[in-house]
Amino acid sequence: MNKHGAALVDSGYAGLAVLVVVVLVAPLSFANNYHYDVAMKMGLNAIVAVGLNLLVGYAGQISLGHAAFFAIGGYSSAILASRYEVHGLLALLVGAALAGALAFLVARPILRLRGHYLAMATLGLGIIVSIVINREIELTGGPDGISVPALQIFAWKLRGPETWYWIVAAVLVLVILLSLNLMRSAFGRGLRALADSEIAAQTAGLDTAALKARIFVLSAVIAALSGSLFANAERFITPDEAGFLRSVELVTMVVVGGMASTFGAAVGAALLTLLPQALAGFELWHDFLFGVILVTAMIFLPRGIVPSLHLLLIERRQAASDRPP
Amino acid sequence: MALVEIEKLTSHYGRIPALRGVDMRIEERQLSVVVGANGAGKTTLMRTISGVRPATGGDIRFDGASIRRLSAARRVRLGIAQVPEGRQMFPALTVEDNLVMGGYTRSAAEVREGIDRAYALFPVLAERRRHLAGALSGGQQQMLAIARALMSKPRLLLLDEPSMGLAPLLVAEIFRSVEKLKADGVTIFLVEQNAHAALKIADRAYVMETGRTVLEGTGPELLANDRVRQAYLGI
Amino acid sequence: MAEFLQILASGLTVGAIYALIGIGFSMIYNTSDIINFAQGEFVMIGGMSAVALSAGGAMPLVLAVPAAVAITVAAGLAVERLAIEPVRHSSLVTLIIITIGISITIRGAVEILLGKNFYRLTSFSGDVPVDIGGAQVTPQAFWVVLSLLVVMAALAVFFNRTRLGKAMLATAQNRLAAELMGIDVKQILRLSFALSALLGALAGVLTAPITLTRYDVGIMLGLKGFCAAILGGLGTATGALAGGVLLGVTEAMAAGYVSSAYKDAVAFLLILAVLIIKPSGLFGRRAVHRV
Repeated sequence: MNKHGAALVDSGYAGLAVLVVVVLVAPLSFANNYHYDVAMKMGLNAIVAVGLNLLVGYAGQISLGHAAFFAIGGYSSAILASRYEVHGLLALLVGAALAGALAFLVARPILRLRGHYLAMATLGLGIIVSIVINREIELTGGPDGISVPALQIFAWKLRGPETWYWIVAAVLVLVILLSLNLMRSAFGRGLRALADSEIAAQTAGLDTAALKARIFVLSAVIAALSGSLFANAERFITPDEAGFLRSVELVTMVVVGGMASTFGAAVGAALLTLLPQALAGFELWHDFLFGVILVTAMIFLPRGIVPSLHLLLIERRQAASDRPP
Repeated sequence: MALVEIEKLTSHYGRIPALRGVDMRIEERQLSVVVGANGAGKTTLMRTISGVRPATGGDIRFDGASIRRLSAARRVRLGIAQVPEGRQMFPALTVEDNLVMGGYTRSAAEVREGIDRAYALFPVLAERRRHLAGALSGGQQQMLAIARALMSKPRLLLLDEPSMGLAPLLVAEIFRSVEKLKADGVTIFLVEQNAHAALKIADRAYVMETGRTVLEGTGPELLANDRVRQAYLGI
Repeated sequence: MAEFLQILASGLTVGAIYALIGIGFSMIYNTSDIINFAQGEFVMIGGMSAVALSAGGAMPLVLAVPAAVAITVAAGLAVERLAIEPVRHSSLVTLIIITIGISITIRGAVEILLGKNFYRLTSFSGDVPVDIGGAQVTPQAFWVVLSLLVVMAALAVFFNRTRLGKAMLATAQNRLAAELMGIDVKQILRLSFALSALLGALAGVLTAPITLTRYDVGIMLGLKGFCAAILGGLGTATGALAGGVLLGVTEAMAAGYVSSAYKDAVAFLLILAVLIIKPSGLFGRRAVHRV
């Protein structure tokens, strides 16, 4: 691979091209709506994961409560559209704004914390949101969930897994572009400095509190966006989407796929969405197998799948260039 | 045969070499000293001998047998004790409990004996036996650190920068205690930035620079050495 | 008054359970900087094993309980050996994910073996409630509180008067120095996992007669035990005790006087408040981060 090609791969744009091709070609292998639905869910998870990766992978923070933001987006769309007849797109914006507002509110006090304390605080936040959604039955429908009317844009009723597959795919590509560009900007460099050593970044003059808060809000908004899309696509949402286990799933996607790697997060999301499908026949064994796979992956691939593969590629490249002509 | 023989010892932090092939001998009942600037590798050398840092190459022989692959705990049982840089107290344990921890590898009777000896050597510790170690002054902590290390009845005492952070008067007192220990027959290996104080009491001395020994001789020889005087004694 | 006492009694009982779980968290954290998200599963294994062993009168309670604790300790040691020791020095996020993965695995295994039903363990000394100032207190509650007191006393003796206990404290305070004393830090870590599992299992068997047990009770109990530990400052057993009792009583009061629907939220609201106002907890010292 020549230098130009290597640069493309490292910058992520080659990966983006591959993703676009995959997205366009994959439906040729879909036999029915179910496949579209699974693929769409992979995409939705990938959107959240890419956003979460900005916070966890690049900025070096942690959030064990991100499902809350996903649920805020989803439930805003659901409640506003079904109970108050607000237009779907507007509801989506409101959902994103609400999630962003909550994130903004808690960002400063929570992000002062580090390590396990930060993990606990985000966990607490997520669980509180999840409990509220469960208990405010009149507003949210409680544990039974709430159904969502179809989103309509002008004359088009956006319905069905196939339609939503394309919508989600488009949004995913945009979010990935955003992530890639963000990390190459000054803001992104600041984030990486922050992740490396917060104190060093501070002494260099970076307002680390502001950086952390901004990325926290951004990742929350992205999660909410995905939640709204989910609600509109599935036409239904339940409090499970806000739960602790869901938050854990999301962080796992980022970590297993590869931290500080946009594509790692996306790959992790794809794999972890497929996994339950693959284990579908083994209902009873599902949790156990999931846990075993998770632990094994973390022990043997602590950097995550994509960075490990990338490293392998770099080492091959190195070996190739070291070889005598 | 020297008590400790160090041969071509290397140690790395990741890819960065901190020890680049150190050769040294520590004779029994002698006070051997390593001086050098910050970053020369002195503490890394200490830690590699005591076992808390792994060696990446070369060998360390204690009493003729290689100890390179032994854990720190095993080396303590063989008779190597380290007084670490910065004292490293157990801050929320009492002075006496710190000493008890020093005697972890010994029997209860030996621990009692050791505590009595420690109080004889450093009476100020006896006065403060029930105080928390974290509340002691720097000089007292250094005394406690040395006394603690002696609890395991070591054949080799490793002292890492004992003068660090101490006022000159205290430094003098600490070094007097070290000399007394040597007089009692303990083999001592001392690493110091304060070259003057260290070389004054050294039987054998080494100068380290960037992971290697560059000069070797007796204490008086090195004190008189021009290079040493210029670089480390400010003369 | 009777109502108040009733709520207080229930709060103290559940608080004691949280305290036992929280002490376990603290122990592992202090010796290794690892937050064991699988702690709650030790509680679950304890309760579920006791139920399984004593089911249908197969084993008398007086044997089933210690056996259940032993099984849990074995599980704790296995977890430590297989999944913690290999990755002891990994990053924070990796460790969190691993311990979460362990808890999912354990839950999954128990789900396979014992299904998804609720089970009840027989009370240790019957169910005839004792009247205290109008409050009806189940005898099991006395077992819980008594056990906690015995545990605290035992831990005090262990840490303050035995060489091994002091070695554990020493390791928690300064790992480097502990190694230099000849203390086998790996053994200390194993011991802390074993003790943690023991305390968790104890909590599990004590509470199973009151709150029932199921393959997934570990999640919430673990999280709340963790809250108790953080409230108390993650430093000492006494801190976890105070944190647990505070949490239990506050939860019970909130459920009794404010709203029972939001009972579970209390723990997490308290935690958020503490973390925002005084992260080092009620008794912890401010952490100093070395650059």
